[in-house]
Amino acid sequence: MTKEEPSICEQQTYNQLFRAHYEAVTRFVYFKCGDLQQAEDIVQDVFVKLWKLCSTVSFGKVKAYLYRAANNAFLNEKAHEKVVLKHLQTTVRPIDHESPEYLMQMEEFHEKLKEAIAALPPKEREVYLLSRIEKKTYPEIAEILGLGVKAIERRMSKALLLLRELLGNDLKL
Amino acid sequence: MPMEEKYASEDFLARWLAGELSNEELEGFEASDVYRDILAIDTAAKSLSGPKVDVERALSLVTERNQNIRNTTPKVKRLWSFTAAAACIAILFAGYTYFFGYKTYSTGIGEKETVLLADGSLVELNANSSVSFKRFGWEEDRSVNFDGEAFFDVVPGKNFTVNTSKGIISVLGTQFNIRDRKGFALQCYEGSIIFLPFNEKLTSVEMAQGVEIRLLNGEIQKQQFSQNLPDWKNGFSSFSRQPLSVVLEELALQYPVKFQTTGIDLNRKFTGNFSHNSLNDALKTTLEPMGINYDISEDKRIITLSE
Repeated sequence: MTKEEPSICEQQTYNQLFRAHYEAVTRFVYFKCGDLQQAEDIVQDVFVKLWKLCSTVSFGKVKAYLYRAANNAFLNEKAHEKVVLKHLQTTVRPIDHESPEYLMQMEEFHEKLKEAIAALPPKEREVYLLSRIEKKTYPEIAEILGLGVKAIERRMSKALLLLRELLGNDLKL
Repeated sequence: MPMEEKYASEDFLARWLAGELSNEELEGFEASDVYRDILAIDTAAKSLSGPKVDVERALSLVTERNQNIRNTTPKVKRLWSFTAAAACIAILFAGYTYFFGYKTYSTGIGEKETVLLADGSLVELNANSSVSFKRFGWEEDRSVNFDGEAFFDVVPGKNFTVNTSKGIISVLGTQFNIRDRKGFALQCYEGSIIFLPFNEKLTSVEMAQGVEIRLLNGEIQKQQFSQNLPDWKNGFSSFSRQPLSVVLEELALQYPVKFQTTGIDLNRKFTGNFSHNSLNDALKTTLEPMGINYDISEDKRIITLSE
């Protein structure tokens, strides 16, 4: 308790936090609800609330606070059963010596993969996307979700198995 | 495929993810179909990326909403804290003045009042006088601040002091009268008292029963008197060779009047007394023997004197 923490009530600090976390938290909510607009609305509400409570949230705990608050806000919203991850994008890979046929197949496979991910149970999907798309480590995911690392590894392995089941036939090709 | 089964279990994969497999297990796993499939899916998944998010646009949206909040709510909060602080200070101040403050009794023109102190001592205030003392803990240090004229009947006990503008009167238990107006006079009716003047040129005076002192032109005049009670307690003021100015001052204390004295010699001496009951009687008994004519205004506030 020797170092003075920067106050979130300072506009500069607040902006810095916003730029650092807004995108990641929005994606996190998006992976849960599959609706980018809804995710953005939820996270913006969370940040407005943070501004109101700026004096009560300590700078060191703000990241955990943001994920926790966004998760709660998401759970409070209704109607997120049907998840369509249409905003997941295929990044164009800079490998140009692949045949058009192969690219076609890859394109198709990507579509199937998206469907398969969307079909995962929410808990597994969340962990899988945070790990593979957001490139977060298991301890990081554990911190965000407020769980132990072991639980994350378990969910991850379940997600891998389920994906393999769902995509099994396509992989044989 | 028993091996495939083994690799395709949650427990095994969890151990693989945690990096807990032995080299042997790892080799076997990496040669399996399960591993190949997972790797293929992962490779495909790695080429996916999250949705595009316009952070700056969102920041400007949120900043706008935040400004609306800051403009309204914090003002209320701040006022609350100010109110709370002000209330605390007010309560502390009120409490302080109540517990450590002084209680004051005072009389106006023509009024008399008897004040009973916590130890049973009596202070009988003549007109236009005041006495004040500590509200709590007064018995520990019997000390009163005093101005005007009063008769003190002090119950025996610890030292009792009266602070006046001219000096301190210190007693143990006795009766005495103080007159601290334009002139200062002190009469001891019972026991003995000590007068400690503030004027450094004067020495303290110890007074026995029947002794009276007056401060006149910076000197203490000591004399004897024979009354049992001060005259004002019997409802009149008496004078013995006092200048007219002192008589008029006393009249203005007992009655709500002012005197117009242009062209009148105020130093002529007067011996006699006047009653506190009736202004007309008082004026008759004081001014007529001195051969002074007077005229009372219609509202009975101003009395004009003439020879």
